[in-house]
Amino acid sequence: MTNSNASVAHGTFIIERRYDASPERVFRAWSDPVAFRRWFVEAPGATIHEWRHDFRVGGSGGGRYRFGGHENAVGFNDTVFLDIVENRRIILSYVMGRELGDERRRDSASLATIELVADGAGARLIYTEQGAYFGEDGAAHIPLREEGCAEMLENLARELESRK
Amino acid sequence: MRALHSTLHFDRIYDATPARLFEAFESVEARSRWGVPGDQRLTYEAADFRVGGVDVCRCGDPGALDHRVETRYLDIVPGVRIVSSEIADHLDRRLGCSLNTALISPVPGGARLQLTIQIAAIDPEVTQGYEHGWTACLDLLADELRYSKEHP
Repeated sequence: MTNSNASVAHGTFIIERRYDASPERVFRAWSDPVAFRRWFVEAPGATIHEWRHDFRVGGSGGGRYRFGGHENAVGFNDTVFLDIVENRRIILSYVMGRELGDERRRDSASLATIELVADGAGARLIYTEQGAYFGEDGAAHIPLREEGCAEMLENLARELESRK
Repeated sequence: MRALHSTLHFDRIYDATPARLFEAFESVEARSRWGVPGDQRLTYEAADFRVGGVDVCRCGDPGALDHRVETRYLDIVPGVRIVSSEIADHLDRRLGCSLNTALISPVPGGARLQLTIQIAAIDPEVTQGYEHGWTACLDLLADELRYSKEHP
């Protein structure tokens, strides 16, 4: 199932961040299933029902999880890796949604490009997300998604910092 | 080299019901006719029109179908919306990836198609390729719908 309201809002945002870690180390944090799960989805109060990370072109990632108590719906993320250039680039698509009773309601579909460029002793990560947000209030979700992605890249900074 | 990101919008009105317009996207036979510019050829190696399903087609000049396009259906609302991701390759070289949204709505006497192609171009020239290709195909789609109206 999906949000069947016919409206779709499209939007693009770009987030740039520098890490005190080599492009190789930053790339590994994306490619390694254990590392990725740790910084991407494991958060205090998160319950992870399913998770996968088949990091190859055509492989699938994502899963089902709940943040906080039962008042919050189970969310899902269905990711597919579309392009991988080791230590330099990852392009993936992902659909996000919520489980409402028996319904899996898809709320958005996105194309994300992660690019890594060496920057002194560290790496610059350029995250570009092109998205389609379903439903009447789709456009309102674009800035929220951008905030969420900035937070995600902040989690990655903590991961790299704590495992030097 | 960095990927080049861009968005193409197409907005067309067709002399067809929204259901017929949707069928032209759903049907592999129909897409084999309108899904490639007239001087080129296209064949499907796999087709699975449902959420999570994957299509694989090869296209190009007659006798040299050296482009490969892999489409994954991410969201389908019958008669209303189709969202898919695409990987485009030429021989063994990746040209780019895209997120495609086809939105169908009724208008008096026909159906409106709003097509949005969000592109991450690895080969910078692929953006223009998408624009030319889709422009030609959306013209062919009008012929396809006219034909199916006259030959129900």
